[in-house]
Amino acid sequence: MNNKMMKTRFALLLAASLTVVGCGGDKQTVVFPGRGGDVFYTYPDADQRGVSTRAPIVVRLSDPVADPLALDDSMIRLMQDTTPVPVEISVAPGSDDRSIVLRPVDPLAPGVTYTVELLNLNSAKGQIVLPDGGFSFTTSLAAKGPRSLQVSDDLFAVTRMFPDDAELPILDFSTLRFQFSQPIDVASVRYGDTLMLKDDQDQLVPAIVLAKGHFLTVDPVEDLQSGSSYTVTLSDQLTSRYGAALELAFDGSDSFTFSPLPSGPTEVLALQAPASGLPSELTGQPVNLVPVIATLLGEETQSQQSGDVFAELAFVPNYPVATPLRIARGSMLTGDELVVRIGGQIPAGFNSGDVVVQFISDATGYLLPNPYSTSPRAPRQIRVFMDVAITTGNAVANSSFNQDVLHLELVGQGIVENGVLVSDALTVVESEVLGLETAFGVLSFRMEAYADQLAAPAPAMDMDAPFVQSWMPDQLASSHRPGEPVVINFNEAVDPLSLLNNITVNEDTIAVVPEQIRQDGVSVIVTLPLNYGSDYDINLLDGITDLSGNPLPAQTLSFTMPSYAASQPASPLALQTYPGFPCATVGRDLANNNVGRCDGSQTTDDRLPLPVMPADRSIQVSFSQVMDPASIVAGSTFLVEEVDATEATIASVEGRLEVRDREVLFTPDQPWTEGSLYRYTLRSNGDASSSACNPAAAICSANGLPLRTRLLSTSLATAPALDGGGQDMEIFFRGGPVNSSVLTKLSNLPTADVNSNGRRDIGEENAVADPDYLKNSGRVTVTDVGGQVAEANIGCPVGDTCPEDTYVYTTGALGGEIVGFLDATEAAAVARAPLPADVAANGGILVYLHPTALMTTSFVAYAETTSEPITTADPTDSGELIMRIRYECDARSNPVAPAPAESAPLRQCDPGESGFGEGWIVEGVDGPRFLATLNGYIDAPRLSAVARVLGVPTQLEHNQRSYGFTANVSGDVEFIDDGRMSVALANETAIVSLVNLSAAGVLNADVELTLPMGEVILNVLSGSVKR
Amino acid sequence: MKQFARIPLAALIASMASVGSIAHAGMSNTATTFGILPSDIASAQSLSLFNNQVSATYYNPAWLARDTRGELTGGLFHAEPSLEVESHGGTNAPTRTGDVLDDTPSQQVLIGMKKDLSFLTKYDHPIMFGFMAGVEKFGKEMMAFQSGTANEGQFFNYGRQPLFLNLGAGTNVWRGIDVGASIRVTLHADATMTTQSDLAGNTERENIEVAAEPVMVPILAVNMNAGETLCSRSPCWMDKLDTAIVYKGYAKGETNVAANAVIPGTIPDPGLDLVISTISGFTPEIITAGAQYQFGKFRVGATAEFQQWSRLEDQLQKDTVKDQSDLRFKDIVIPRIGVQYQWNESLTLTSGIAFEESPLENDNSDEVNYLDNDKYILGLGGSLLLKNPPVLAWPVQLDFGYQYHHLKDRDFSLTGTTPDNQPYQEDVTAGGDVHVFSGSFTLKF
Repeated sequence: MNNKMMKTRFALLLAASLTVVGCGGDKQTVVFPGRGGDVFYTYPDADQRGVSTRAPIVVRLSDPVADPLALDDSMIRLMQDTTPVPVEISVAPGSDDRSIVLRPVDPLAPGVTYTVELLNLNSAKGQIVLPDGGFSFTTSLAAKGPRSLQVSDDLFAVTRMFPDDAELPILDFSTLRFQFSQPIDVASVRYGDTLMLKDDQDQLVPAIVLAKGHFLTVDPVEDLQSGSSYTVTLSDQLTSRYGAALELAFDGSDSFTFSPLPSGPTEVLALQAPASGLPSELTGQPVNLVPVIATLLGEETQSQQSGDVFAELAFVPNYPVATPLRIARGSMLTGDELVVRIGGQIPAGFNSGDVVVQFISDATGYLLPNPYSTSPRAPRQIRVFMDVAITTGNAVANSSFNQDVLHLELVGQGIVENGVLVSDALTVVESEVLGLETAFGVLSFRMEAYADQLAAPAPAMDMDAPFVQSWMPDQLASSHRPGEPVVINFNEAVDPLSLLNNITVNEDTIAVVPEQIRQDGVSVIVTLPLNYGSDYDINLLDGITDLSGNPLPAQTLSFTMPSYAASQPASPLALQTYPGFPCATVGRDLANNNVGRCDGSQTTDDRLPLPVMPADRSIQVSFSQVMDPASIVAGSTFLVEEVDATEATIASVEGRLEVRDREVLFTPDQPWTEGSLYRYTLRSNGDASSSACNPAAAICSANGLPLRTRLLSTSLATAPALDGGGQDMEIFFRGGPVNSSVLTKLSNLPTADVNSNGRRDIGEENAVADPDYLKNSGRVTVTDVGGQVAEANIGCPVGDTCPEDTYVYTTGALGGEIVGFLDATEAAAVARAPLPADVAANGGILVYLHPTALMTTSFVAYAETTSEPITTADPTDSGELIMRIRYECDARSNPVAPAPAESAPLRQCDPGESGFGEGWIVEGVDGPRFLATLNGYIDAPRLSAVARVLGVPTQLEHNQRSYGFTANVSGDVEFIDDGRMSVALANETAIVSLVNLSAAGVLNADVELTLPMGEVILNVLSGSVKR
Repeated sequence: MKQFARIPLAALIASMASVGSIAHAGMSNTATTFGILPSDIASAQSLSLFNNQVSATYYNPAWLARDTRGELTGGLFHAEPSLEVESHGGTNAPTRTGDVLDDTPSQQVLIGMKKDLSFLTKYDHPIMFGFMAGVEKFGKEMMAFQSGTANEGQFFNYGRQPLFLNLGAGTNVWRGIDVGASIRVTLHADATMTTQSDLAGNTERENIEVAAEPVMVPILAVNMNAGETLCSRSPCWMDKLDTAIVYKGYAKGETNVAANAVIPGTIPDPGLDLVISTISGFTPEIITAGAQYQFGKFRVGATAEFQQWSRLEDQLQKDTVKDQSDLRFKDIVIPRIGVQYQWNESLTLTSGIAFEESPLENDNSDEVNYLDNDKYILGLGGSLLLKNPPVLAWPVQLDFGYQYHHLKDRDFSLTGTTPDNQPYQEDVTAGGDVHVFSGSFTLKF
């Protein structure tokens, strides 16, 4: 201390006037040190769970980054354990150089904890330091795929309750949300039984219950009574999709009792989500613009959202630290229509119409202190959990895109700027597109409170009644098959409580109880056992309302299932096996990626390449008949094993087997290991001539017939019986990496051969009487004869006309993988087959076609010989025709020429080549158009031609075994109101088959059969968008 | 759209919290910290118990009875502190340039009057009435207070002083024994406001009520001329011995602000309450005992003043500004010794010294960061009596006083949060000095 006992100033002051202000001293100025740099916001938040694997990482600082252009991973990096994760690091434009964005090069792994490390990150105010050097977050579990990606624990347990009633209090207006370690079996969610919220009088509280994936929401219809006691119970009858019973959810109890705190008096804060086009200060992306990024849609599809949001705040003085808020059910944001382009390039032929995001439960949120900084400049944190339904104005788009997205977690920042509360928040919306692919979009949400709340707009009242916008099957009942649900798509979300008991079903006027009625988005999915030939009425009764209470007029949706002719029962076929080719095979050489050829085929046939299975995909098998579910048992009749190159079993593969009426899916518990060999086996009865089927030992149809695993034969005598089985169908594949292509299955529907027996049965429809059945038909004509054939006719004797008998009808399914748009250069680089001219010029969307086998019905050929009546020909039944679509290459190391030479040989497969066919979607005159070249084999294993010489029957041999054909096919890609995709492929050139019949080298007959241009129509239809 | 009145809410609340501008002010008042009139200042209050001037109304109203002449006094007062803080560093310690943290002056205009009111009675027994007032900023500031937290530290004493208002009476009751009583008036300010505001602070539907309520604090005094009381004859050696004892009740200035704001869209009725209740000035309970003796032209006096500061602890527990600091105070006794020399009939010289221990026990008071020191006080002054002044019919007395306070260095630890809301700790040494000047004009009638 400067000791100034007697300052010299004293004398002067003594002499001064009494009123003189003192001379003043060395006045002290006090300047406190600044804070240096701070982190103000991160996305994800520290220790946030359930973060999308597509999430960007955003770190917003208090001050600009010191050198934005020099940012690299020596300053900030993303780590998985001790391994750096490749990311693109940039500073968000429009963020005043304060927001750093890390975009992972590849999607993050599900259910994994990542750490963002700040190593040497400097702001203009100094180095940025966080406790522990960074922050961590955990990604969400996968919604589909292998079990290990969908579960965080072998036990089915509640992993989170929001609010937790500890740090975040439960209020009288709160909605309860639960998250689980495994996806919940929604069928086990029965409110009032397995799930309850009861008041202190033990009365069930009316509530809206939403369940999907790992999420469960319980939203009381009316606000709870503050101060009263409530008990929520999650019983052990709640089960996961993997069959696990729920563990005690609340610290050793299945119940949790709480007393909600009072929210009131509440105040509604009116905010607007502007469509300003300005960049978000968090990401630099336009605010409130929702991109929808998917292989099917490309990366340019986006919707600009706007509208008012009304946040009801609890009485702030009572909750100064964590201020609860709610956004009421029924609130909505509207957005511009999505311009739908397949692969982002090819107009789909429809746009979405207005995109509406509607809150289907009360959103619950909190205004919280800034988690990183105590700076007075630091904004508060906003966290909101919401459940929304995404709907679109256009019927097709609505069916394709509408869905519920539960537990959407907004993490944002809020601060008052210029007297207005502004909030910027991020979340990642993951939505299903066409039920085929999960799209994602990072939503940079911005909300601004109205400055004058007294003049702010009031919540808009919805006075419009809901209506049924589309439904399935509707006009496509002929394409409907057992196992498919009935899906009703409303124009807006309907109140789930109003659905209870207000949807009834009649089968042939008799009431039946659906197996399940569930809701997703604006869709109501009714699952029930459908029977061929039955009439169904779906009755929507009075009482169904939208979320605002507007009633739906009562109405009935009726359809008739196609008739199934019971004569000539046929064994079920595997129409499509993914991965692999649907036949039992012989002559395999796994060490050389060769899985042999179909049993019964010509020995010189192409060898099928070993398919590579992306790590996260499921085995899928489609059948031609309704199957006996009891006969399809994992580990018994359906085996999945890891094998070595000698086909010796290494280990069984555990997984989840889903058995549906006409298909099965097997999803492994663990992703397929890259490079490992696997085999899945569909057991049959071991005898292609026997119809016996023991459900305990073989896969059988609901009619009790065995799986037919061999369709081909080298002679009529060895032709498999129509109702026969065969050896086990063993399909091999190798594990591969995840890829981004979209797997899709398209069924050849409708078809007149409803019973899929390859026969024309009495009562079956035909294309002449009903042109709808031109789809999946082919008209067979005789264009030339030779040898001892003088004349020939199809369907009826020579000279007669019987157009309805000249058609064959297809049974089958096509699988494909939509890779995405390739421009002309990329297409030329990727393609292994000649490019269509349009693609070579303009590019197109590459679709890999999975080779498979189609079956057609038989036809009867009549012929007159050149030596009548000495030699006559019996009417020749072709039997079912098997059309195998060939791979693009032969898996043999040394392909041999076909013998007999009825087809062209293929080139040898390159190492790792899939051999898939190549199809292209291009922009056509009337919308998207599909182009492909089909290179195939035709087999007529049961063709029986008999010539009579002087009345003595003589069986003729024929050449319709592995008979090669090539056809360019094309057709429009259409989207149906119910959201399904349909492609009607027709042959661009005639398909000609020169049928040669002979016996002992003496009799020789040639008939040229032609399927005229445009008269082979393969109409393929995707499955229900929702199940 | 209805326009809000453009009155920022913060400004409104600020205006309610104080009448006049805010200046630094401590827990002191002119009378106890310095002295009221120049003669009190000159003797460092050591002779104030036996001061014939009107300031006796406060220091010893019984002494009013000793001089039945009427007086009208006016004066000016200027105290200039130079309160210094030296930093020794710490966590997030500020940069201090310069030495003087606080030099807020106290500048008062003084007015007082005393008069024998016996003419109002049927008796001929003198009853002296006195009135004394001091108004800050030379009369422009009636009510000055500041109460708040201070990261940089704040001195417990000095700065602007609240209105000083004191009136009382004294009379002789028996041989050499006088009694007196007075009241000191302090103000309690209460302000309430209700308004509706948006988040920008624009208000409408405002309602403001401000009330300043006077609070009376008693002062009781008795003095005795030992000779007149105890001696049976005169002259007696004890005739020149006077003793006195005075009790002063504690006084506090209290300010309560209660604001309520409804913010549509955010906080509905009953709104957000902002309640501040703070002690804006405090004078402890004081018992002063003293004696003087006349040695020829010298008059020597000594007093001991007991100040009960411990009561402030409880008061501050109810202070919404300072309740977090766990402030602790001790009772103190201040010794004062003074001497007066009668140079001639007209001129009198006075001096006095005192030592005042700091009542503040804390070396750390979180966020409030009070600083206080033990101090030595030296007073000097003179009085010139003009028995026959020009123009005026009555004698005039001119007084001048000077006082010097030396603050003994004391170490403190300052803690709190910086303006950027970071934890803050700083070791400092506080010290400094104060110069006080005062002059008065007294008309004796």
